[in-house]
Amino acid sequence: MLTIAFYILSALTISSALMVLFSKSPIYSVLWLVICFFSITGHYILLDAHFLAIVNLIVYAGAIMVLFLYVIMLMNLNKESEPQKPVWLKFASVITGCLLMIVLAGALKGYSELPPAAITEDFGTAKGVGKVLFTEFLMPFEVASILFITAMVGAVILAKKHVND
Amino acid sequence: MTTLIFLSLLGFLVLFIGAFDYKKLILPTVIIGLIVAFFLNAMDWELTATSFYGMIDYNHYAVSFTGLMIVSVLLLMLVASYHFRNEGSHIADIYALMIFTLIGGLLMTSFSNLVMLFIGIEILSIALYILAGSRRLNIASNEASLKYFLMGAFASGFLLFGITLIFGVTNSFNLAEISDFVADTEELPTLFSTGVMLILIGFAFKIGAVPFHFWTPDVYQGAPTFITAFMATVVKTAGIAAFYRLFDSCFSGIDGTWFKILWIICVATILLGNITAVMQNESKRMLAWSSVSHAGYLLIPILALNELSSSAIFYYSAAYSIASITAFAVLIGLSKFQNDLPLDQYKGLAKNNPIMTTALVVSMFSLAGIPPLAGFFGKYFVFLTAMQSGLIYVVVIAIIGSLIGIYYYFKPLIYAFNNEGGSLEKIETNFAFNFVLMAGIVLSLLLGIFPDILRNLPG
Repeated sequence: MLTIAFYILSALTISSALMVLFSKSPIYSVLWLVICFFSITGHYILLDAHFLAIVNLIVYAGAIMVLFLYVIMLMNLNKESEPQKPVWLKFASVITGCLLMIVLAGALKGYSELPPAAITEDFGTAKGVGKVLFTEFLMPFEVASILFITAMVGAVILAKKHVND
Repeated sequence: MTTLIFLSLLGFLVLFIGAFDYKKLILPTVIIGLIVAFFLNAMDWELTATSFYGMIDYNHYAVSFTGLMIVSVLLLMLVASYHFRNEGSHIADIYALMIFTLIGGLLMTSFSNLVMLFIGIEILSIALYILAGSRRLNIASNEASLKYFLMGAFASGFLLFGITLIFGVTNSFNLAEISDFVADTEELPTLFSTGVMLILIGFAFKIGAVPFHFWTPDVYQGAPTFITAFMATVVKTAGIAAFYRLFDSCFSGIDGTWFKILWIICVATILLGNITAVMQNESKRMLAWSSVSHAGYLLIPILALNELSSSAIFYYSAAYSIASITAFAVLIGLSKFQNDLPLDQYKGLAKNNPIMTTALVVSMFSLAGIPPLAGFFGKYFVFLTAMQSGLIYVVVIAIIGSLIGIYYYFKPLIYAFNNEGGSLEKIETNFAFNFVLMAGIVLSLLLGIFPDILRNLPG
């Protein structure tokens, strides 16, 4: 049962990710991306990471995608303003992308000799994540606040109207 | 540890002073705060303990690199007081961002967990994306910011992917546990090497090594000169310190997987950086390419990876940072906020501006590596490290690179002493600006004559 669900979700993830690339209109791309994130959320649930699944749904599929849509609408993207890349650049990116994929596929092939890590009782629940976050990972959790204040100050610097403008 | 908390509080204090518009207080607060932070940092010298569940290991290496970065930022802030003398209201925000950047640098030199490394790099990078675009109405500054942001975000993605793969194999973010895993496993899985390579790519981007250097000239030229100086010194020091710390503690046993690639990156960086710098007619672009080539020299000790490496990296970063800050300070003195600074604007500098000319001569000589200045001993220690690991070809190529370097570092000097088209007027400077120039001259000479004061610090 789980295996079937995994394959269905994987097919959905990959095909929607491809549709993101191949859609002509950026709006359609974003909508396909939403579906992609939804199916990744499904993967998290299959992996017993319930908390992560909900966060992924709220933050990525919810907040960030809405932001994406706003940006696309505000920038008024259409076909004429789309930059045309030279052919050699497209070739180069296809080749490098395929190389990376081959390396990763080769690295993953036959990758079952290492034993899976043991998981705890409350793995993946809000309680379990909270416990780890406030004990072992307290330091990065607190320091991340500096990261966010930096981003906020930056947004203010870039967006504020200055006196001498 | 106290340094981290103190710097965070200092950043917030500066933000508040800016919000309440006490303009006269901003610079003194920042300067005094950074001096206090320097001494707090020095007081942690004997601490050498991992703390917070092994997230941070504040050892001698971390203390010395943090000290170096604080001194660099301090000198840059003094230059900033001159640079921003006519600027508007958002200076406090920029100073605060620079202090936050310092926190990122501190984490990058003291991490003992890959999560801390990533957060450190992100704090550093996000602040820089904004600083690069801090002249909002200037189109070149906007371009620099956007370019740096897009490329930097992509590189962060590579780094994060690498960290994920390493976690997938070792089931740990902790450096000690990863290095135990490397020592205990006979045949490392390919996934692990793939992770190491992706991390290598991420770092090579952050320090601007060939072939991940494409952003450097445009970003360095478009960003405000003072921020360019910041990127060329503090950011490069932090990046290389983190690079060495990670590869020395975790991946030194498996050099077969990354050694050849880093060898090529290192040699290509030195050659391409120096050769392209020769062809530049614009001061900031020339210094940008020269900073690319210096990233190559800084990679040599990582390639050699022996007991001399950490001291060589530290001494070289110190010598390079001081010389670069002096060179950029002279450039800021000459420029009036324009982006395009052709080399011939140095013309006739020597006659009426003795301090600036001396500073220019000392910094260029130090960057070129001419004895008895600090830059010479920096290169000497790097080559010594390489020779100990038997990297003769790298040393030969690096020496050829520095010979090319001497040519373009002399170009501004030739212009400065050329009085044909009339000499430059005396340039109005303030006390802080002259202090930085004097400090740059004295430190370059002092470190060159007594290299042992700094050399053995990181241990």
